[in-house]
Formats: sequence, C-alpha cells, structure tokens
Amino acid sequence: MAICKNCGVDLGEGNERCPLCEPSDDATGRMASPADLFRLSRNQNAKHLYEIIMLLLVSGIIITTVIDAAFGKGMGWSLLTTTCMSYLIALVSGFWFLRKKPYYMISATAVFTLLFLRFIDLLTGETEWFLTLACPLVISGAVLSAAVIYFSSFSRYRGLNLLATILVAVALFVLMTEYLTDRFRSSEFTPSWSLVAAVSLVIIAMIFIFIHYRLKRGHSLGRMFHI
Amino acid sequence: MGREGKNQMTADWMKLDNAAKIYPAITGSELTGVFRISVWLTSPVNLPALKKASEDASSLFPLFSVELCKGFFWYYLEYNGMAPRVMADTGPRCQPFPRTMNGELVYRVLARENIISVEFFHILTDGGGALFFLKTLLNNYFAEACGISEVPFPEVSGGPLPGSGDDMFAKIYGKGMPSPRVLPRAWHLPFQLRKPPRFRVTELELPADRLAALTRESGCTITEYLASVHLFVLQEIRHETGKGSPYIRVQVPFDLRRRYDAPTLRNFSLFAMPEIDIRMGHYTFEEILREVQITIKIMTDEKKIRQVISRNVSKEKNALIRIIPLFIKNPVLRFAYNRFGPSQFTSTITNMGRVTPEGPAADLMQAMSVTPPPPHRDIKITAGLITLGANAIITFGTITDNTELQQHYIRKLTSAGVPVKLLQ
Repeated sequence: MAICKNCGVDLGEGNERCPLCEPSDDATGRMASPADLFRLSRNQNAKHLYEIIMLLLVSGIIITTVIDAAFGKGMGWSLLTTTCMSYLIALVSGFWFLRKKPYYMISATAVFTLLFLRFIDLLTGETEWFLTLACPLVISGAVLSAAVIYFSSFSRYRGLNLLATILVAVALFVLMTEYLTDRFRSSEFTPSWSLVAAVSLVIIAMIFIFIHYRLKRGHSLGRMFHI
Repeated sequence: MGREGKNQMTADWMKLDNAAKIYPAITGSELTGVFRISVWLTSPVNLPALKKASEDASSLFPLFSVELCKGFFWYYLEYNGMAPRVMADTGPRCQPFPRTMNGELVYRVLARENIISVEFFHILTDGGGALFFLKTLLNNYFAEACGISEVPFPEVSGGPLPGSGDDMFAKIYGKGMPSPRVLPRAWHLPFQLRKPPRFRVTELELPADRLAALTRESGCTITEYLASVHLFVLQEIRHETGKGSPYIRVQVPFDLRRRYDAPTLRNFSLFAMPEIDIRMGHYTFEEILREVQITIKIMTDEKKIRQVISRNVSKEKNALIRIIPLFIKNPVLRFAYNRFGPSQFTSTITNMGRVTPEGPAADLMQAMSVTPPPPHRDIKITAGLITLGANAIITFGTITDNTELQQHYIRKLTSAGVPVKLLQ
C-alpha cells in the first residue's frame, strides 16, 4: 500500500505519485523535451514583443533627434516625431504593465492621449480644439471602453455578445463625435450621419445579441436578466 | 431546475434560493460561507476509489454540478456537468470558492490520511443537502474501496428524489403575513480577532450515549441541551466582562425537510433564537433550558415558520429590490447584512443529528464532524455537532485566539457528567 507522505492517503496499487499533492509536469512548467526549449509561453512572447517595440521606438527617437540636430542645426521637426514616439512608448508601456487591470489601463491611455494631444496642440500653436473637441472625445472614448469591459464581465461566453457591446459603444461614440464637431464648428447640433450610423450599429448589435443568446447557445436571456 | 437524476434535466440554470441570495454579496476571503462535513475512517483513504466514488455520486446530483454566475439583477447557478474536484486536505478549512464564471463548482471533496470531507458553499445547499451527498459518496466509496455491496446508508441509495431541486421557501411564502417582531441588538463576545487568516477550529469528542442519557434525564433534546449550555456559558462570559447589550441570543438552525416532507436538497432550514435578558438577573441552567425549549417550540410552530419565511421572501420579491442592478444591490446588501444580520444574535450552535450507518461498512467509520462556516467578525465563535454511532463531536469554529468559551463549555459538560476529549 503506497501512502502519500504529505496528505497521508492510500494512492492505490501501482501509483507512486499523489495526484492531489504533486502537480503534474505540465503544471510545474518543467521541460518535457528538448523541443520545449524553443517553445515560449504566451507571456514570454508578449514580453519579447514589448522589448522589441521599446527598442525600435527609443532607437527612432535617438536617430530622428540626431539627424535633425546634425542637418537642421537644432530641434525642429524631430520634436513632432519624438512626441509621437514618446506617446507610443507610454501607450505600449501602459498596455504592458497594466494588462491585468483594464480600468487602470483605459485611464492611463486616456491620460497619455490627452497629454499627447495637448503637446501637439502647443507645438502647432492651435489651442482651440483641445478643450472643446479632443478632450471630451478622449474622455467619452475611455468611458465607453470601460463600459464595454464592465458589461462583458457579466458574460461567461464571450463572442457575438462582446461584439454587440462594442457596436453599441461605437454607436454612442459616433453620436458624441457629431455632437462635438457640430458644436465646434457652428455651436448648433443637428444630428445627421451619426444618427444613421448609430441606428444601423444598434440594429446589428441586436441581431448579434439574438444570435448569441437565442440561437447559438439555445438559451433564453432569462438567466442573465431574471429579476 | 427540475432534474433529480441523470435524465431529468429540464433547465440548465436556476435562481438562488432565498437563503442563498445574500451569500455572493457578503462572502469574501474570511467570511466564506463554506461549511464542511468530515468522516473519520478506520484506514487511510483509498484515493482511486474516492475519485471514482465522487464521480459516480456527482452524476446523481446534477443539481450540484453548477457554477455561480453573475446576472444583471441577481446571481444564478448554471449547470456545467462537472464532477467535484478531489483535493488534498492539507490547507485551512472552509476556504472560499472562486466568485463567478470560472468553470468551478461550489463544492469540493477533500482527503487526508483517514478523513474524507466535503465542503459546500451555502449558496448551493445547507447541512441537510451536504449530508445527503456525503452519505451517497460513502455508499459508493465502500463499494469501490472494500467491495462491500451492502450500503451503509440505504436511505440515500436511490439518489435524490423528485423535487430535490425545489425552492421550498418560494413554495411556502405567503403574501400579506405580518412581519415577526424586530429583535433588539444582541450582546457580542468582546474577544480580539486573530490576524488573517483567522479561521481555526477546536474539536471536542463526547460519548453520544452519555449525552443522550443526560438529555433524557433533563427531559429535552440534545439540541436544546447544548443550546442551553451555549447560552449558559455566554452568560458567564457576559458577567465577567460586564459590558454591552443585556440580550444574549443563540441562533439554533433547524431543518425543515422532515416537517414539510420535502426532498429538496437546496437550502431549507430556519433559525430559532432563544435568548436571555440579564437585566432579569442570573439564570440557572434549568431556567435557561426551559427558555430554550419554549423558544424552540414556538419558533418551530408552522405558523411562525411561515411568518419568518414570508418576511424573508417578501424582501426578495420587493419590486424595487428586484430591479436594482447587481452592482448597486451588492454593496447595499453587504451594508444591510453587516448592520442588521449579526446584530441579532451572539453565537450559533447547529446540531446535524445522529448518523447511523448499517452493515459491515459501519465498522469502517469512526466519527463525523461538522465545521460551521467561518463566523462574522461580530460573532467570533460558532459551534456544530454531529453524532456517528457512539461518538458525538462538537466543532467550534473561531476567529479569535480567546478560548474562554470552549473552556467554560468543557467545564460545564464535565461537571454534568459528560467526559470530554479535546481532539484539536
């Protein structure tokens, strides 16, 4: 009778390893064969991708700054490229470091985008559009993204239902866009193209919801919305 | 959900019952809402046999093969057809189940040395349902491990009966019943909390026959006797500390299945709340026992049961409460529970009754124990009793290092002539 030294249960005939106490090779991440040396985990792949992107962007900043300094005798056009690439560095780093905290990631992205747009605003000398157009659009985009993540957290099976949620968010975003551009140009809001786009998107979203919950899974919506 | 056997599945999701609805909102890493029933065997647990027995048993209980999911207005349970995980029982007891939508069931089977345990999240069932499952598991286990064809628990050999998925609270609910009186705030043990992870247990073994003889002499049941000991001990501690509310109240759960002849395996129990008011003076044990007997008798009266169930269910049926989205409902429920739930009573003692195995497998089981869910930070100590054959085991679940209550308890029982053995 083989007894587990840790939990003390009888392992049965022919069993030397306790399946309750000793995790399998896969679970411990032990190499099973030499070929596994070249198999990277998803996390390792993502880390390598992040490092490559950082390397390219930092190199880009250095190269453009050096060229501008050497041939343009100072910091001219390279300021714009440096700003853009710094924004990308901040954005990618935000995605990487906050990947497990989606709400923080969205907030960071919104802040970085606002800072980037403000800086562009200052560089180009046109300051009117930031507060009236860029700022509310970025904030509404962030809020809608957070709402999509929140609502998708209710769903165990994410498929067409997630797509439907995104479409509804886009519908709201296009309405917001037209409202803000109208206010920016003429101070008067007359919904036209955005309304058509939003209604179309909502109809498609409803079809997706119907397919997902009613046809694909064969269930009623009752479980999710029972009161 | 209307399935009791393998082929009777009529729906693949079910609403939480009235008693379960509060748990997803209030439970966390300390207040887990998870309870355990264990059985001590005479030999080490045969793991392959336990795994097979567990799979076979779970196929009879599709009602339990569910996971907790989050709806927009309420949580619900969704069938996933999985068997429970058999795990090594090497960590702390009554650990929480992952909250939602991860493909995990809300009960588990555990094994260590010669002990088989099952742990259930209270959203799924109460002690009655869990004991039914454990008996079925043991029937299968002894057949697998020892080849014993005569099952030790023939009363469950047919598996769950039709109606095992019924929400009995919803059936008994009567509209327009007056609400029971609101109880004044009860006194709470003033002990300091242990640092997390807080939950620990103390187990006492008593000779069941001696305990039964003592209760016969006193003209009461074991539940009434131990609830009285609990109140008596709490009164002693209250006198020593001398502060707080004058009401000492013990929550005593009672099973409603037999009363309503209901085969349901979902939550179907209520509480009696015997109390003493120390402004009336010091109570002797006999006075407390009389108080407990009267209260339990009143609280188990059918009209009273309907009244309490109707009060509980009517809150759930309130239109305003129903249409509030879950993300608002959860913090509100948590606040309401913390404010009004544990304030009603001082401690809890539950008696799961006597388990009587039959046939040759009866000799292969030594004892059973029931570990109540970790108590709320106001309650601090709860107790559970179960009897198997000649052994009764009281398990104190505590989140404080103070052992005064257990010491008083042992003194009271030994002075009454019941020898007590401290197991852990």
